[in-house]
Amino acid sequence: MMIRKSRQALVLAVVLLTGLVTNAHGHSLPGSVLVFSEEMQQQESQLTLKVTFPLEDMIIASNKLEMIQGAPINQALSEQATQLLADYFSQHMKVQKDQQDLPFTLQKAELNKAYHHDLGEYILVVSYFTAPKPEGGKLFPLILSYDAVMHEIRSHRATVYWQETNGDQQKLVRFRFKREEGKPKAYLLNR
Amino acid sequence: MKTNYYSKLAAVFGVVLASTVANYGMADDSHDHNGPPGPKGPPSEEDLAIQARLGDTSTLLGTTAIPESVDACGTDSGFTRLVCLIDILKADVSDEILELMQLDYSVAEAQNWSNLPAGAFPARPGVFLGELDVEQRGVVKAILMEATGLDENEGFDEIVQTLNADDYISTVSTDYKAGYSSFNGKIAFLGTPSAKGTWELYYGGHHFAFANTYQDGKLIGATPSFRGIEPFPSFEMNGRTNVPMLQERDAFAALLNSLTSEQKKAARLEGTYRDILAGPQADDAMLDEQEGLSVSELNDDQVALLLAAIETYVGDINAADAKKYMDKYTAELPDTVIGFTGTTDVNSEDDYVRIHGPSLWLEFSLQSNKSTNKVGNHPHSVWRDRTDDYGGQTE
Repeated sequence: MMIRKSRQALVLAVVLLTGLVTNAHGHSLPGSVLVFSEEMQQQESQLTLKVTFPLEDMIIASNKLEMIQGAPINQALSEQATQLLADYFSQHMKVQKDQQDLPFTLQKAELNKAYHHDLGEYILVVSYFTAPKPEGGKLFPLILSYDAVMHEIRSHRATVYWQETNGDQQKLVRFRFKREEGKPKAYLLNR
Repeated sequence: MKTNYYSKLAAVFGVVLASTVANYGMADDSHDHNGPPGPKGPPSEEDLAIQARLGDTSTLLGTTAIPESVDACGTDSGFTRLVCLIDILKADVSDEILELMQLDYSVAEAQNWSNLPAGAFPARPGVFLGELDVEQRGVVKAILMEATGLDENEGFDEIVQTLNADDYISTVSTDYKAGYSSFNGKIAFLGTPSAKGTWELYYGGHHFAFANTYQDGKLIGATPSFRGIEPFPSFEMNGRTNVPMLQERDAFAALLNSLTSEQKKAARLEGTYRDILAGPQADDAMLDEQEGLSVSELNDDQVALLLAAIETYVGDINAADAKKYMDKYTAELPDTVIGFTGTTDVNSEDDYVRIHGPSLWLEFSLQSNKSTNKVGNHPHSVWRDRTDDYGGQTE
């Protein structure tokens, strides 16, 4: 408990020193947002996945990721930090199609400032993944297992969207932390 | 009047537009998340109209006189008097106010409650207290006193002190969009109050939601019922010391501190809770599986402390109805669990307590201050009933 409190104090101190937050967050920070989409890269279709969650909550959830908090805003994280983040996601996120893992690879991650009317400014960790589009017919249904941040912060929720090429988003599922037989509960993603 | 309305509307639009333009790097989860509602692009015309109605004058509900007109409803406490008082209020207000106050019943409308300040959640149904004249507010006071508990720091007194908190915050906050003022508490009737049919008495505002659902002359649901307060634990405002949630916190702390080491170990939850789970717009967040210490492991003294903690919430409704809920929750104690994280004194950020029974769902969370710009923590808490939230209604 003392370690966690110290960590929180350190995070708050760093954040205040860097002038990125105008007030303490008196209400829970936003949850994870996962946005799946499809895009063309060199005439090949691939799946993209953008995952965002608040830095402050991530540090509480995993002290191994503390080094990320000093990274410059709006710049790609260092290779080392990106690898740490990728390792973290490998333990807390899995996407499957027809019982096969879709090999999402973390291509880039960065810290962004965000603003919320009731929360003021805070920092988001934004992670960009890609995976080759599965061959064959329909992309959906997919199976998602995800417990990043929420494996520790139980008031954290995740919302998953599919984004059309025109930018329209369709909410697929929203969930909170839940384990089944010791593993993160898997959610069916379908359109 | 109209000039004032439109100038306020223009001012609000200007502030909101400026705020929207000034924002950068918006969170992508503006649509839906476990925090408060996020920026959703340009505000709707309806929201702007509601925000333009916000006021900043204190309504002093605690010292407002109850008018003699309510004598027509007699002195026998109960459902009949409650409906009579509501009829007096409805007969006295303008058509414009009545249209705001008397709405059709639907669960979707009932779900429009929030912990947020009035300006941050315009969707709450109803009329602002400050839009009523003093005599009408006196009738509102009589209505709320009929529906709520009358003990000090509970029920109606908790409503008054929570309104006082917004008057306090308005003296220290520069967030003018938030609408920190006792002007901005809202009352609404969802469905027509009468001896037949289903309707809800809604009262809510920043850090407060009261939702009594009645059907055919009986209370069929007293939840979701949200309580929070900032500043905490105590503040001076409107001529009094306000401690609306101190006894709730102290009751939880007394319970947790009474546990043996072994019991604490069993009650300690995994993880960190930065807020309650089943807050506004999270009706589905109550867990199916219980976690924590079974109440069957408690001795009689500890059970008494637990019931005292529960009563700080159930006692917010009138005594006769509160007794029914307390009887129900007492009968279900063998199948109820207690869970907590953080300190047993419940005085630190992210401290969290949960009572989870077959029906009862009670959460208490401490989190850092937001509105007063002062270092410290403030509670959010919710009483829900897993079997009759919203009166068990589904649509």
